[in-house]
Amino acid sequence: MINKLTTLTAAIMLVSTAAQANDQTVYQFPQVQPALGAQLQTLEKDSVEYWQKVSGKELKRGVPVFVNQADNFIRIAPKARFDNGEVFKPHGLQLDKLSVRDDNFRQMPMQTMVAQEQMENAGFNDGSVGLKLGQVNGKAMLRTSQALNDNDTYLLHVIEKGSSNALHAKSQFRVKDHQQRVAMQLSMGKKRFKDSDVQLTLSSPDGEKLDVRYENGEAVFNFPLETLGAVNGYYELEASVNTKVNGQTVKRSIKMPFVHSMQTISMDKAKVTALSNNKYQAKVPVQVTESGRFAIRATLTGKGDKGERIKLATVEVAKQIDSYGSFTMPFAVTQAAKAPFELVDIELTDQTRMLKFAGE
Amino acid sequence: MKTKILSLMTALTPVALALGLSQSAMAAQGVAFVHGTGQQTDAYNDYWTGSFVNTVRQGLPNTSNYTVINCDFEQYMWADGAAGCLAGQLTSFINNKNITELTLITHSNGGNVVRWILSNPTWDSRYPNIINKVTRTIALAPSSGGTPLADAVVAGNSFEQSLGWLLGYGNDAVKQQQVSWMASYNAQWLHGTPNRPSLPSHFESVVGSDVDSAIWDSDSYCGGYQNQVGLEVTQNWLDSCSDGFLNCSSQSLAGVVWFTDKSRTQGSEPLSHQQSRRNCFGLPNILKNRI
Repeated sequence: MINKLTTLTAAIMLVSTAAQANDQTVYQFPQVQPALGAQLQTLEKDSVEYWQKVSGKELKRGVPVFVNQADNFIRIAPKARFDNGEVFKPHGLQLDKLSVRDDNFRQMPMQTMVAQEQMENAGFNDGSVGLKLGQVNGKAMLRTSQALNDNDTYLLHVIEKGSSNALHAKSQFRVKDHQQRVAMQLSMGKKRFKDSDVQLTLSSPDGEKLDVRYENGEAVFNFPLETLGAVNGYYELEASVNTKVNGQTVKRSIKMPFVHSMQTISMDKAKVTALSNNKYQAKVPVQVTESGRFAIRATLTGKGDKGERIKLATVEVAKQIDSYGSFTMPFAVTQAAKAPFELVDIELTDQTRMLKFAGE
Repeated sequence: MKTKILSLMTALTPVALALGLSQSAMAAQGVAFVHGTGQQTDAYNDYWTGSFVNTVRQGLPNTSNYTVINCDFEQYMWADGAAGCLAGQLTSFINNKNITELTLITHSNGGNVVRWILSNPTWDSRYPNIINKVTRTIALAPSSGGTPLADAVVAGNSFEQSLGWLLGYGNDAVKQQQVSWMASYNAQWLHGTPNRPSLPSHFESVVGSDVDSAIWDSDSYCGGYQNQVGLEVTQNWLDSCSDGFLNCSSQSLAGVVWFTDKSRTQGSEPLSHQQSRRNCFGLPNILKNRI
């Protein structure tokens, strides 16, 4: 009688599971998944490049170019500008009108000049031209004799491939809600930078520029961040520094992405039920702060013959949740195990905003 | 007559199983060609070329079991127009052809879109069935670790982001393929890189290691000489080992390296980023013999 009831109960539960699973997407991994490591907290990066915006007027007068090694490449590209609600794109640059002169106004030799067509072949179809200096001089001035409009803007982009003067950045990757400071350490070898050495800009995922300043190794902004998660891209901090190395001016720029994160889902204790035929079901109550599609990934564990905890299977389930809800996780295992059954290596995902959280 | 044949096959299936015939003998194998960054409407002609596709598919038991994907891979890999579109076209292919074992051949960022599906099984209700069918991904020059060229294009150009035939025009896929952005995706969202969970099926890359653009060398002209010249310029941002668009380290980051170009190509020629999706140096035959 008890056996019959158990079978009946199990059958009802399976039917129930199937019904509940209708609005869930369920996937059982072929193998037990390893424990996920800690969430990504910081990013590190090096830069041997710099870029800056220059005006047509400046280009005609002469713009300093900081190149300190033979392996260099300079790219100059027209930049679009907004004016009275309209977008203006400057004239393309004529390579034969560009020259680089030293501080005695002597023309410096170019090793390579790359015309627009060649740059397009390289993929830069924004009107870029490129050049490589054949002789290095810390006081080189790039200028053009082309009749550019004073107000037009251009991008000057310099790379010194393999330079030993690399700007290193280590920055915080996850920024919690209401946090208005982001750690961002900048260094070049043993050199650290004063706040006044660092120019900083902050862009939102949709490209909006936000006020930001550099203060004691942190980017500080005045207003709370608005866009949650990575689904529309990252926020980006862009730092530019000017420094002297062996008497030569070295200029570098670097961009670091980060994500604005908030705990949008939390879970209560999971309840695991053993069904028949090596099938198990875990019910995990959750609550969310924002409506959306959420997922849970977890590994079912049981006890082995000697009482050791063994991992049996990993399952991921996703569904739409608007406030309170629960995940029903069906596990099919091949290995025999005894109670108590528990979930471990739990990861919660906000799929709508692209955020990940460790479960309890 | 058709009904009778079907009935006979249905009746024979248990017999075949009882006789121990392998499952692969009963399987329907298929191959899908997944393009890289860009919005494709005719990838067969515009991205791969017919000579590439038609040579590779000769390796299938049924040469008609192939599909060429056309999606908008200018979007982020997880977007509906990217992975969602890919999932839709793969699902139709699997269902229409009753595919049971699917090989994916990807190029460049197509490898990332596929890895997104393989790594995030519940993101979309169509993903589990696809994951269960995919037995192997051959990733030609995958941008698994991103490329400094994407950084170069985006640098200082939040408004004008532009890069031509390599990456498309100022799109989300360009931003996504910046080195630090890919590092974050590999650390949190994608499987198959070191210290991360394995992908559920075999993911093997073909690595392009050099660009040959000598004007006197006919090999430089395979895939288009102009493109080869362009790739020489991009070397300013890349390591000495690169295909002109991606460093070898990026191409090698996910899964396992099947081979590096010169070790198997005809004449030990390198495969530039353009050439690794074209009928150059025997590549389609190498793939034909693999699937």
